[in-house]
Amino acid sequence: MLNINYTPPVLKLETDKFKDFILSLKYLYPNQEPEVTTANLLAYLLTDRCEAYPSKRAMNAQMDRLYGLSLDTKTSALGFSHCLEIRIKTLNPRYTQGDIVTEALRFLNDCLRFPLITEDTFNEAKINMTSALKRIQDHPSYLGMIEAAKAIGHDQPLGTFSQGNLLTLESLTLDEVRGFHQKILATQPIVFFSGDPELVAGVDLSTFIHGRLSVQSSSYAFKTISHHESVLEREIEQTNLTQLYSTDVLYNDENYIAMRLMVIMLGQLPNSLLFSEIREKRSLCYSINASSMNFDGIMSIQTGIAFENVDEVKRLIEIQIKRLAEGRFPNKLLTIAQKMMRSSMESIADDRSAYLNFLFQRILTAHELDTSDILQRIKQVAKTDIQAAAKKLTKVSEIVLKGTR
Amino acid sequence: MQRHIYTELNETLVTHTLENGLEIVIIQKPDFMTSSFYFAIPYGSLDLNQVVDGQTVVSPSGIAHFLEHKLFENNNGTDIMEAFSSLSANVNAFTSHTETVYTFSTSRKNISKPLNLLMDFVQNLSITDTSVEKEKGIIIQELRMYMNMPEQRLVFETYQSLYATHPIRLDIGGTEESVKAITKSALETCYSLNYHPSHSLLVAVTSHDPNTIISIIEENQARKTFPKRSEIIRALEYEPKTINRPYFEFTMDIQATKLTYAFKLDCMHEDHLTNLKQEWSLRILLELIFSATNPAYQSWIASGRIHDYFGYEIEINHEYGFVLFFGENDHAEDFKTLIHEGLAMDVTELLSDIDALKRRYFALMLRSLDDHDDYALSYIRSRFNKIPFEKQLEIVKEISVDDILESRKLLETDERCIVVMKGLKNSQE
Repeated sequence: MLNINYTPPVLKLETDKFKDFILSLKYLYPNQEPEVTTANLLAYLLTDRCEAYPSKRAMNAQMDRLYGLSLDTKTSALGFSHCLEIRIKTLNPRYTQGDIVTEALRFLNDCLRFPLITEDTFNEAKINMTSALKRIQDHPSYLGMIEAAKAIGHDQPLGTFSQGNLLTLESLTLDEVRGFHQKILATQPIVFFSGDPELVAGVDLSTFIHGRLSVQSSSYAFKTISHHESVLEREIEQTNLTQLYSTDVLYNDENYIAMRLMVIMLGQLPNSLLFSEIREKRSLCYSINASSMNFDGIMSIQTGIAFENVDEVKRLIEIQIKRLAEGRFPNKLLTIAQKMMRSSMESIADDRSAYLNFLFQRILTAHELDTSDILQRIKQVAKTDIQAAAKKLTKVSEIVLKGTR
Repeated sequence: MQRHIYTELNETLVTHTLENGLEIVIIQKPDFMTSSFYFAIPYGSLDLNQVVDGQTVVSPSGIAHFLEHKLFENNNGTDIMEAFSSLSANVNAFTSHTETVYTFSTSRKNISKPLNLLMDFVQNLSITDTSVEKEKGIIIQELRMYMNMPEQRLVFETYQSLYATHPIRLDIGGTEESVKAITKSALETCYSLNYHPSHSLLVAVTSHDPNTIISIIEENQARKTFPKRSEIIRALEYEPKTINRPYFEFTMDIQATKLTYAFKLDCMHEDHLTNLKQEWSLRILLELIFSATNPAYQSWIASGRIHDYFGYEIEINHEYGFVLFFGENDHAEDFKTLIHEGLAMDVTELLSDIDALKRRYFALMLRSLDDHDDYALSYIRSRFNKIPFEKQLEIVKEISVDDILESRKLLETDERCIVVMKGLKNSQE
């Protein structure tokens, strides 16, 4: 069984099929620097130590007492907004002894409201975050995406990397982080609680409700008058090609589903046009995919190839997009894409993280929470809608990370 | 057919073996929309030398992985991937050191068609010389993709340092040379030796009635005949107890030096349960020492010797055993010293945390049963290692303080190696 109850700011998801319960708080603020870097640094501090448990050992001991409770933070970009999520997850009380729920909620509150933000913890978090950002950039596919977005997104949210910026991090001060923490505490988060019916009925979430929820749709359709292409060299085995296209479609526009299906047909199905033509027929790559950044109105294409094949692969990508725009694709490709998208929506509640994320995006864009209208809209997409979506694609950025090893 | 009902988990486990030897396991989880099916073969990248009826069959490295790719070959004009997609089923496959698994998941009520398709395509290899040659280009790009990933490369080089002859030292996908050397004939030989229902396991994680699923499988298998399968033994070259390379350094285009410090263990038993118990005992010991459970951990961080990119991996089975510590540190000797400081520590005070740690591991195992892939893979590995699945869940509870303290002796060995991966800028210093 599955029941959703949304009374802002609290969304409760009643389901008895999982062995644990989740409490998640999502805070929104502008997707710009220095907020983004500050939020990412705060994310480290919130899970490190707090006044009630001032050592890592004490934190660990409490989480183990709560049956291996996991305490996580995550940041993500949603167009004009950025989100800091703090979440706890632990075993359902039917498998434990004692009032684990009240204690777990108290623990989350302690970590959220009273984290240890001192010179020592601040410096330690900076070291960890610096190291993590550098590791991200060591990966060719992530670096390609960051560089491609940065090159054309300087005056729009696309250009802000959701995990933070090294230069901003270097200059960030302790007071700035403390100030941001206070701002977060003064913001009403969206509160998600998922567990079995008795648990959901009895849980007291009042500690996390203190104000009016203010949610504005933050999606935008990226526009630019310029276009960027460059080749960067890295001493790596394989060349990475990253392309970004503007789709000119807002999240949940009437053309949104058609755009999503077009991206699936282009580069997400095992028999997608990119996969079939570039990998299967010509053996030019192992991995090639297209994906959509839904709150930015952007589609990306990425692949790993040999440098000598870059021009050929670019030409083939262009041909596949043209095929979509001109309707030169088999009808069954659209049918299959529709089936796969419907199937994914039908089973989304089996993946709780994906489901909570979906519900969050629906709340953010003021839409119905159930999936029935999406399922209907998927069915209604016609070939001409796919063509229209493909015709709107404009390449805005391209980075070739040339492997020189 | 055997049925176990786990009331407290709200799950039922049904097992059944067909006449042709195919083992079926159905994990019935009500309320889930998604059904997932896994066709598993205990044949992986380690199976390079196989003894069949007294004869040794030697295969090039990467062949199990290559075979996995070729199973998806257009089969009598059917595009397998497209066929699954048109049934609203997501199909995938992977090859590990010890098994190859073909899987699909779907939310559709009709699971008969994709289930039949899964069995039909896995139990039929149809390839040509041309298609084999074509696949080489794809696999070579896959190998290069993994070599671009720093962490993968570091682990690969660590295995090369630990082992002189054991195939764990080779990449699952092989090398570009070994991939180029693979022929249609070699693939067909490996297929006929290893892909047999008596050497396979079909696991379902689903809300559907187990009897319905078993009927579908039985009907499918009844239409097929299989030759008698010979017994196959994995043959290994002699692996010295000594380390292959005590020190190895290489560069990659990365920003911070990363390294591993690995111990080659000499504690392997034929009995898988004994190995599993040793592995868990050691895991708990290392968690007590090298995590926030230990007050010293905070001081190591405060002094800059480690940060949150630090950890360890352990594997002990009947063929090999190792412990591998990894971190980011410009000074390999200091990293080594830190590890030995930890291992030399008196852990008496930390032993009071054992029950809490065991509770954590038990809870994590229980929660992992909500994930279809985790659940199925745990089951598959326990079956292939001949360990009762329930035993895997209980073993942590059974481990005693003595077991944990005793496990420290496994690391009293001189067979250790360091692998350092430097950034291009660091290597010039």
